[in-house]
Amino acid sequence: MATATAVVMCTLMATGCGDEETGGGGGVPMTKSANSSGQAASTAQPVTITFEESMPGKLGSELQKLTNEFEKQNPNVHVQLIFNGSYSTLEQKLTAAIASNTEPTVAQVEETWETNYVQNGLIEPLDSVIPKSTQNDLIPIWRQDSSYNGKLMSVPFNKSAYVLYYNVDDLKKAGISSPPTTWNQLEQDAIKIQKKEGIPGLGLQGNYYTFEMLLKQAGGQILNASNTKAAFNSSAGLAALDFMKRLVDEHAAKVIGANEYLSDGFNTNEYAMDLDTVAAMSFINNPNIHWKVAPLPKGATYAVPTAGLNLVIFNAATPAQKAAAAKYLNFLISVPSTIEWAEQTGYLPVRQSVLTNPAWTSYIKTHPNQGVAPNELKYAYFSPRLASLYSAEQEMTTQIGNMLAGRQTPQVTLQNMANITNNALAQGNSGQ
Amino acid sequence: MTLKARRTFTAYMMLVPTLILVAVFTLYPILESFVISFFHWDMISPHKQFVGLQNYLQIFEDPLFHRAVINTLLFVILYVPIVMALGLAVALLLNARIRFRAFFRTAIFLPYVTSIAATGIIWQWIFNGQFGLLNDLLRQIGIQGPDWLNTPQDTMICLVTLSVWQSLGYVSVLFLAGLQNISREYYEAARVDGAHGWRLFRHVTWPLLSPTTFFVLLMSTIEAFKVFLPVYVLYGATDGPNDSGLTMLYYMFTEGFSDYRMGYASASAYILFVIILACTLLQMTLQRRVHYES
Amino acid sequence: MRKLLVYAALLVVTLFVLGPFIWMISTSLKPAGEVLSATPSLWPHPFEWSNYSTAWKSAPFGRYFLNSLLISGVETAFDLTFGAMAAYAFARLEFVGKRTLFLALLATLMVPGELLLIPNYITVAKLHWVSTYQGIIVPWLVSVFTIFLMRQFFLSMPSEIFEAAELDGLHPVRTLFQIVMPLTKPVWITAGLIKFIGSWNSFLWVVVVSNSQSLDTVPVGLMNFTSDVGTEYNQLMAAATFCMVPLAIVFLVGQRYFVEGIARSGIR
Repeated sequence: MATATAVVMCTLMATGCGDEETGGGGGVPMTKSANSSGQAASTAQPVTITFEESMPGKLGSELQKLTNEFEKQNPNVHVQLIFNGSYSTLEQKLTAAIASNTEPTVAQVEETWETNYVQNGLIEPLDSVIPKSTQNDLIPIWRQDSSYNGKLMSVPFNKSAYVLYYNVDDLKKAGISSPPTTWNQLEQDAIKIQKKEGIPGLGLQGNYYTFEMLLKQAGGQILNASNTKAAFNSSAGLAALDFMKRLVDEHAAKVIGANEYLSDGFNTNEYAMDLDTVAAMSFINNPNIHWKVAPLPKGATYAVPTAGLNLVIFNAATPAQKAAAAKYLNFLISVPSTIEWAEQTGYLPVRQSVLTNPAWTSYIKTHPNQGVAPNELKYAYFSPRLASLYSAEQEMTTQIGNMLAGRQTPQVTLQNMANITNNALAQGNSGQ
Repeated sequence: MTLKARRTFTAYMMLVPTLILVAVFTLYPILESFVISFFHWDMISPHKQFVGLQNYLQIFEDPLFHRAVINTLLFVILYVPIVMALGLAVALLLNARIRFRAFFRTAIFLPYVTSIAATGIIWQWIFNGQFGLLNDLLRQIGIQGPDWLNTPQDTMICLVTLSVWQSLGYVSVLFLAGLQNISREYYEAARVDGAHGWRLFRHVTWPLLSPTTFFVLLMSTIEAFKVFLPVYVLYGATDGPNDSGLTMLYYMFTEGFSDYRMGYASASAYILFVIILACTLLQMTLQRRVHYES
Repeated sequence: MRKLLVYAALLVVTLFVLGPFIWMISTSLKPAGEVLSATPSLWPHPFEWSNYSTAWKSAPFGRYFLNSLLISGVETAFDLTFGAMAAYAFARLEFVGKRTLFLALLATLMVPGELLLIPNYITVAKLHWVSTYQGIIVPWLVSVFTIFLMRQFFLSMPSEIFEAAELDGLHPVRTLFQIVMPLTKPVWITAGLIKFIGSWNSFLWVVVVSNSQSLDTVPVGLMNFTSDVGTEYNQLMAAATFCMVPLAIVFLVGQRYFVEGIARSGIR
């Protein structure tokens, strides 16, 4: 049903927007020349594309550097990077731009927003502009994450996955020779560290996302196949909550608040291990902490959460802009760019062939920590791509907090969480 | 033209720039979002679905919304009197003839000018249960402080403290301007009558300051009802442990904006609007009565 | 003795207020590895002065300061002019619809500003003002806060002044700027400071309307130190410190106009 509507709206939007003067620039003086050249995708004409992004500080400078390289190779294309602060600001900016028909040419998006854009027919399918060979080379989980009904709607860009961070000294002091590889080892090692050194072995975020990870590792499913009901109120869901509660009750894990970063506590040796994204590596900068990363421990099975943003092209852009944007996207996910981006930022390469590329293999020989995550991506999953779940996830976090504080049992918590999710899904479906 | 018509004309001439700007950039969007509150709309699709009062009814039924109303009222009741009393006291001190006056005034104003992105983090550290400055100080006097930011019962204390800290300078400056507006002659006359200290304050300062006091009361109340940023920065974009920091605006923001339910967000904003309006009208009526009595 | 009490009270308040700033500045001078510590010390060792230059270079702060100054300056000037005129009308002129209009203005303060973002962006886009100074500035040229504040002060002035001016046949606009303004400096300063600071710190609107670094303001620069997985605390604090300084100076200058017990000559 939703897809049928999407197709209809796709056509409506395409005919409605095509001939309006709503080119990506949205009134930026510099884009005028680009808009007027809209008819023919002639490559001789200079064209400006706008790119709404959210890459702060060093990440932003690296993006600018790659973009400069692209412009050098394509002197007739100007890419205007527009920095937006946090992801949520970027989201609001895109919403405002869409509401006023002043979409940018290219934007970084989270999957949940991307789904809305796909359903409203706002973004360009990329099947025809990203070569099949490139598509086949994308890391499978991210190709899947970027595809809707078998069509590629975005390309993965700054992607990360979760790994186990561990403090080498703490493990040694507790007599642990190698990092834990199973839930059971994780629990036992955390207890050992707690007993030997008086600090909790593990830092844990007591939120929905931790639950989701453990649920998957326990072999559970998040939603049913049609995304209409929670499927996590199962024995796997209960196992996940029980595990969290046990770790906390045994003082093996310290629950950190939503206002804290996991990496901060690890950085100050508040705990000896945590499960965090690879993007956090650059924030562990205490010279007295000796650390390494390892694959996530296994429950009933392996499961690795992923995060990060994708790149989309809005279909309100002119043909010339779309052509230039396609080139730009192809450049950003080219093998050399993705290697440089990964090395400079700590995000993961988005292409399969990079993992065996000599440039990358020699890099991870000197930076072994960055070689861990790509190997676990065969177990990777992504959270449901539904914006209507955002506040439900916050409410579920509250439920988990109540359970960890001993205010309610895991059984009650799981039932409440399922009700919250089912309500949100019902509202989301009727609200569209 | 009659005198009344001419006066009305003059007045409107002075009001024209304000009225045009407010009409275009405030009134129009407000009315538009009022209309949207009767629709289902995800902000990005061109289609809006009329649902009548459904958004409102749904909000009234939501236990989280009840929680948000209670939390917001609690915040208003705690924050407004504290910031006003402290603000007035500080303004009186800063109005006195003292040394380093410019230093004291600027110091107290600093939190108001500093980015909450930075000060929010500092307060997170201050409230940190293990390493925080606050618990450090409490330990010195033999008290083991709680884990402030992770204890639901302490959420209001944290929010009010941060808000008072941030707004104290602003409220003081408003009072200071009010004090400046009181002509010295009134004090001289009162002193001749033998009044000083508390009596001078009670019979001269307090009544003559009342337009400012009323203004600060009204503004602080309105702003307190709309509290959002302190929650957002202190609790890392969540509503605090066990929803203890869930305020009405926070509710509107997440349920509406993050879930792409603009109609629902608008409806909750209008419920907030009605509550604030009722509160303001009550304050205005009370003020008028007080005014007539004295 | 009383003086001593005054100083003691002031000192307590100042400590409460400045405590967090001491931590902020201390953090801004610490090496990255020392920022978070189980035993936090206020004294950085060593002093990492380079945090300031690194922070300054991580965004075009020079340009951002100029933009902030321009945008806040223009907004404040217009807000004071238009706001005072409106306030004067509400405080001192009798006209049809006065009460209703004033309540309507006041009511606009009670609606959360977040709701205005998207409709206003659509308006600005229709005017072709996206990514222009006028797009950033014009929606904020008047604030009801200023009108209400000034009205309160104009109300409390002795009516003799206004009657005398009217007898002299002075137009209300001239009465306002020639007679009332010099007598009510503190409220102008206060309204101006609050508007200036509010405009200086406003972030979301600027980010949404601006598509170019050449239009961005200081708060946008402050977003460069935080990501979704971590924050560069020392640089953020350094940047917050140097961003605070100009506003502190503006206040320091402005507050000189608050003089104790100002004698209002010419009132009677």
